[in-house]
Amino acid sequence: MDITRRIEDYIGIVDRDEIEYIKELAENVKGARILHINSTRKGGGVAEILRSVVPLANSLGLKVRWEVISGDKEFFEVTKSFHNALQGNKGLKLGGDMIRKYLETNEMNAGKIDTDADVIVIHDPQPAALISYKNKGSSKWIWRCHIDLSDPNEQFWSFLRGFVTMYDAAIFSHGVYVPRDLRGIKIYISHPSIDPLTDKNKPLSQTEIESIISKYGIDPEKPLVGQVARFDPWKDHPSVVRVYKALRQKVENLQLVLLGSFADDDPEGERIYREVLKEIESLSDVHVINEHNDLLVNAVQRSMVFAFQLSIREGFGLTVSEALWKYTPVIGRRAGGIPLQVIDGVTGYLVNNIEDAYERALMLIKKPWLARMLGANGHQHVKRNFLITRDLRDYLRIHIDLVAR
Amino acid sequence: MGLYELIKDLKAVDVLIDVPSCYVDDPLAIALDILAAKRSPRRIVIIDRERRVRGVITSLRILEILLGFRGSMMVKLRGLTKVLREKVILFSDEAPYTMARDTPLVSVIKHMGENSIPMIPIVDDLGTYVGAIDETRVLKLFKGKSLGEEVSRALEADFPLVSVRDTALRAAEAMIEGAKGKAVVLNDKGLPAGVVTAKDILKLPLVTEEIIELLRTDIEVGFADILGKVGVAKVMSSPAIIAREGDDIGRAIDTMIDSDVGLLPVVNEKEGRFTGVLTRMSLIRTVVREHINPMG
Repeated sequence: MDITRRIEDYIGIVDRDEIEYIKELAENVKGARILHINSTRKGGGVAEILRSVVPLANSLGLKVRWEVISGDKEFFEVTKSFHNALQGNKGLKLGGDMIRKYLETNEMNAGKIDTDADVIVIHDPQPAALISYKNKGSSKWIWRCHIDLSDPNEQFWSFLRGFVTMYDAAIFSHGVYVPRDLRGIKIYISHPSIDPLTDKNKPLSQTEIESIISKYGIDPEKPLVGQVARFDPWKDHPSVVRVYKALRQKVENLQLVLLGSFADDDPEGERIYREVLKEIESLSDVHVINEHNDLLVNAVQRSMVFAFQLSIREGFGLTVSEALWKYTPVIGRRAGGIPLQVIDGVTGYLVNNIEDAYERALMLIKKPWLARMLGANGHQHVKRNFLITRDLRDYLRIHIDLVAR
Repeated sequence: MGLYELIKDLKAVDVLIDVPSCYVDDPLAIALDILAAKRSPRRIVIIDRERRVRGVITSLRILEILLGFRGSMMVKLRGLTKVLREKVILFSDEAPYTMARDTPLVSVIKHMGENSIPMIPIVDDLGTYVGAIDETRVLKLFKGKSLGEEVSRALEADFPLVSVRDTALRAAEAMIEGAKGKAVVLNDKGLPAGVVTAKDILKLPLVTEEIIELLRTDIEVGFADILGKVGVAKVMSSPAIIAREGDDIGRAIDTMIDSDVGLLPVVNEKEGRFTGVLTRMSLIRTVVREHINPMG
């Protein structure tokens, strides 16, 4: 964790007024004890945001802690099913064994984590049942949901809803993600954000970019398009490959990069990765990279003419904001938070099928001025709406609402 | 001329409206005063001294504060009088979502419809607030057009409902629970008798007079008690302006604009039953989906 990160580090990236305004908001909850609890310290968007938000809030005078629950492989398999079911996989069934494992692990963690705080923010379903062990006292409990609950598997959601309704409030990433039957608690909307100072998003020189991508066989002299996304079925890598194959008929030296990763214990990720490799085996100039490397993501996103984000389902799809921040327009599907980030015709294009994606892609390759214009708009859009400073502001407002005296 | 052709050459700046604003450090009471005025907007943009957008506050949010659903700790410890004198920004609504003034209008409207965003503050190159585009402004662009689709395509089934026998407090609670600034009031036959809005409640003389008294004397009052004694029938707009199931969406848009309402209960006249509501946003979503989305 970067404990030295301070709000002043963002002067020059956002206006000085914005920094002053954040400091002023923080004055109202100075000294408030905030505890964030999630399921991992590394990897994934939640950990990424917390790595920035926690030290920043501390630099503003709040007393913020971040705890991570522990669990065995079986628990995380159960919670992965939760994740998929809550995001709409209706075929999954919630068995008694799964419930037992979920509750046992939460109980075990409740005994280990000190929840003495003014506000406790529980991230996502994994630790949601910790609310059952809430002490009598004035602590406010918030459930921060980072996934799309607009069309959940009813069996999983009705189980989880029992815990969620015990909270004082819930935060969702998008208004349309809030389940219709969630009533009786305060609901806040706060879009996720990116941190412009991390390795993934910080400025890189041309030399650095070329040096990084060259190591992976990408030719800096040839045009590059691609998708940065975890290898999972929802990201629809095969569609990206199909669009690329069609583009290659028109642009001979076009390169494709598919950059993502999957955990060692993720058989589904590995299957998708192998399928993608098979799909591209006869193609030259295609780079499929399975690696968790923030600097590489940064360099690749800065090198692309445009980025694809053809996911069928998304939590929010912050890779879109990451690309836009680097002046790279995005061609994306209408999934998750992609339509919030891609303003059609302004910061990129929203498409319904691969034919549309191909047409838009070809247009951006043929008209570099247009890609530059959309990219510049995209940078401004992210600066105004999806930076970590805005996320911090939202947290401060929520804390003020709940515990400011 | 189709709807897309009608707006395709326009930019955000061409159709801006002046949504009232107040400063971040204005007292909450000022926002309440603006929102409770007779012909006032449903929301206020909150700006700083450099005119940068910092937040938005709605009638519903003010109602939440008066009833202790928001800022409850502050209200409990300091009292409502002090809270009404606090800076409005501390109670502001959702994160401000802004767009540049030269954004093509088609993109703005599609973005609003696809993401259910009721209002977008528009800013210049320096991030200075120059105006806004809201649902009403968008619908006004489409006034007088027959769209060839029935309103059933734009129905919203999930909406706060109260009985004509309920109190204003119950109506306020239903709106807060449903996170909507309006509720349909049904009569004993289950048909729409009227519509009540958060603004209607804020405008109640009983409420405005109590607030003036509160600020003058510093003597706390319970707004829940006040609203609990008022029947919703006394607060609602009635008779309800409605749409019929077979109506054209264009006609519903015209009715909304001409009657200056943001919600139309829909009835099936043959069967004599209430089937759902049309909101400004449900109409915009349908228009975007069917008429101004030529490619994607």
